[in-house]
Amino acid sequence: MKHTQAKLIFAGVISAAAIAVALDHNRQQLPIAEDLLASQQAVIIIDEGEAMPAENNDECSKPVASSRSAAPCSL
Amino acid sequence: MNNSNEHATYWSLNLLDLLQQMAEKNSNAVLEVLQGIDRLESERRYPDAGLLFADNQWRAFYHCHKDNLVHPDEHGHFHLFTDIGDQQWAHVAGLSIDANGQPLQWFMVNRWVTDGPWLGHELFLDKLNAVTADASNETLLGQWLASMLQLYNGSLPALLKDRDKALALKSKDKSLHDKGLKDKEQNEAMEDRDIYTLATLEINLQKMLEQNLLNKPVITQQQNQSNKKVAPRSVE
Amino acid sequence: MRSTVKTSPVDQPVVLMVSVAVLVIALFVQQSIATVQSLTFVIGVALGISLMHAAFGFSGSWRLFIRERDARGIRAQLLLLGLTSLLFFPVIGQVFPSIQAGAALAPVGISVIVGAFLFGIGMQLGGGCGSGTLFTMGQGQVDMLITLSFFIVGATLGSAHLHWWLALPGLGSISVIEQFGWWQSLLLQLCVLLVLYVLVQYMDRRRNVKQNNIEWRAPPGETTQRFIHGQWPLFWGVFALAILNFSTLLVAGHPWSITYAFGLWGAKIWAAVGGDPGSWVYWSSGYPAQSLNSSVLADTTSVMDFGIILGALLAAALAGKFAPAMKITRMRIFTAVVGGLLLGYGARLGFGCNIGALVAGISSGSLHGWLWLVAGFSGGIFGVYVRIWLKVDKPMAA
Repeated sequence: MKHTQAKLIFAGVISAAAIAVALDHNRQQLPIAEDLLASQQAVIIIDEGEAMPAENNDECSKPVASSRSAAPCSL
Repeated sequence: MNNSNEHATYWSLNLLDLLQQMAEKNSNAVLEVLQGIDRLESERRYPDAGLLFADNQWRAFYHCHKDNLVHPDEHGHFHLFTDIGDQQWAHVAGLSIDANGQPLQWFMVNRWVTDGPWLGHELFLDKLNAVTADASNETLLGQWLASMLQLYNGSLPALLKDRDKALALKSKDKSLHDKGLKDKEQNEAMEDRDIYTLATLEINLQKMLEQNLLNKPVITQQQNQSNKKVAPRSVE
Repeated sequence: MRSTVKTSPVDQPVVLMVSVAVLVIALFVQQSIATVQSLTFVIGVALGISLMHAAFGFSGSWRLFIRERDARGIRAQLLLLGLTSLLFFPVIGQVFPSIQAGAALAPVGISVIVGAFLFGIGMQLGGGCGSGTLFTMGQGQVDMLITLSFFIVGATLGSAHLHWWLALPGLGSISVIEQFGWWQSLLLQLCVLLVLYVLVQYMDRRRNVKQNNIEWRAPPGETTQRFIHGQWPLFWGVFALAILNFSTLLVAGHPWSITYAFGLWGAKIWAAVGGDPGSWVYWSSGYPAQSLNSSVLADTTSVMDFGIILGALLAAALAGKFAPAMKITRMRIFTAVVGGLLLGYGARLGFGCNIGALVAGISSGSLHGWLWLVAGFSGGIFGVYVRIWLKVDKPMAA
């Protein structure tokens, strides 16, 4: 192996290592995403004698698709 | 060096510089967008209105889904949109990110996922080629997104073509698979909620940067052996 | 008087590029990690220059002694151990309470014996030890690139198996400083080193008519030239390595080590290609887990290793010896691969290499360092015979 070949190989290896170190240096752990629905609990005030809202109305007990989930990744 | 090599080298160096600027702050692309946020919530967009970048011609947001529909190792993904006039923004691609803030893959989704106008692949080429990353005007994240778009400006149009082909193949009318979809069948396929991801392109930043920056030369064997003595080696 | 220095033209472009790279990296590490980390990088560069300019190796000198009883290199290593112990023992013995520094302690057990023995064989096959592999690779010797690559593979494999080896019988970590007091154990250790020094010198003089003397200083008028362009007297190497190791102890809080980084790099590479080293026992807790999930520049050993490579590169360019032309035969590739694997696996099991276990262990009063020396040298003897069997070397004279 000639001197210039050795130089080229070595330069390539050092450069590849430098790129790997640069990419590794950019790795930072991201926070874990919490469930949006669980974090937003609705408070329902019920007067004495009133039934729970969902018990009376079949329509309300059906799951309602939010406009967001219709196109979950829209702008 | 021809133009495409210069282009690749320029944007590779640009990206490396941005990565180091972010690393100096113990940050990366996703942490940049989450600055000042107390708690990361799934399904929420960050920033809510989308980040404008590349001379306000592009817009992006980041979010996480409860279920990893796009990639099993994904933490979340960016969605990138481009301005097509009349205050309309067309979705171009998604960019999956892993738990360490590193890009995993580009992906294309069906129209119902992002809603909005749907444009063919050929119209995106000019948009992609015109992406800029002006350090004086843009945030680090904006420049990073622009650099990623430019580095993949050869692959993304092809991925968009794959998207269209995949959509055609998924049409229920198999006779149209080779001929291309007619409007009605195309609309049906685009609203089919069973079809989420249409095409993906894995990202290997290390490999790509090495290819662009090292331009590994071809070493040819000399026919005549040198008569010089081998240089002295260290004793180790 | 005719100069004794053999000169080759300085590789000026490489000198310039490496000097700029060292400056840029030092500043970058200082900005993005800490000033202390940047200092350890600079110490690494100085170590690389010293190793290269003094040609301070362990493998070659062990082989010379085993084959020809030429004890120069081994005597230099014993001097290094003595000088480093003199510097380390008071600090680790808490004579200066304001200096926080830890010893290189490791369990005395089967893991160290097997690891050091394998490492000793690897030294002879791979063409270098821990420090030797780094500085010869830094010089641009392409075959040592192969050794280093498989060193990394071996170290990573070793980290996957280490918990199994540690479950085998052992005595735990033993510090002679804690057992006997710092100056008492220092005195005892220096006596042992002196006995070994006299013994190997006796064996040398008995076998060899020509006196194999350690060069203590440069010939008159050559000091500056040698300092810059290399061919340091061996004692300069001893002195520089001792001082720089002590500097590492003061700055980083622990002695100079090398091979932890190789396992870390291997684990990170494995993770990058889809593996899950974080689920292995070794990488799942403590400092290993922390370093796996942090930037490689936050790991002192890695930063120092980068410094050694660049320092050796700079020194080689100043000496006109960068990237020598060489023949790489199939046998050389074979020995580099096998040697590298043994070096890496052995270093992980043995809690370090010639620097991290032998020098750091002995100099900081850990008994495992002495065990490493005995097992490692035994492996070296075995390795010399393997080289003869493979016809890499001629048989020894009767």
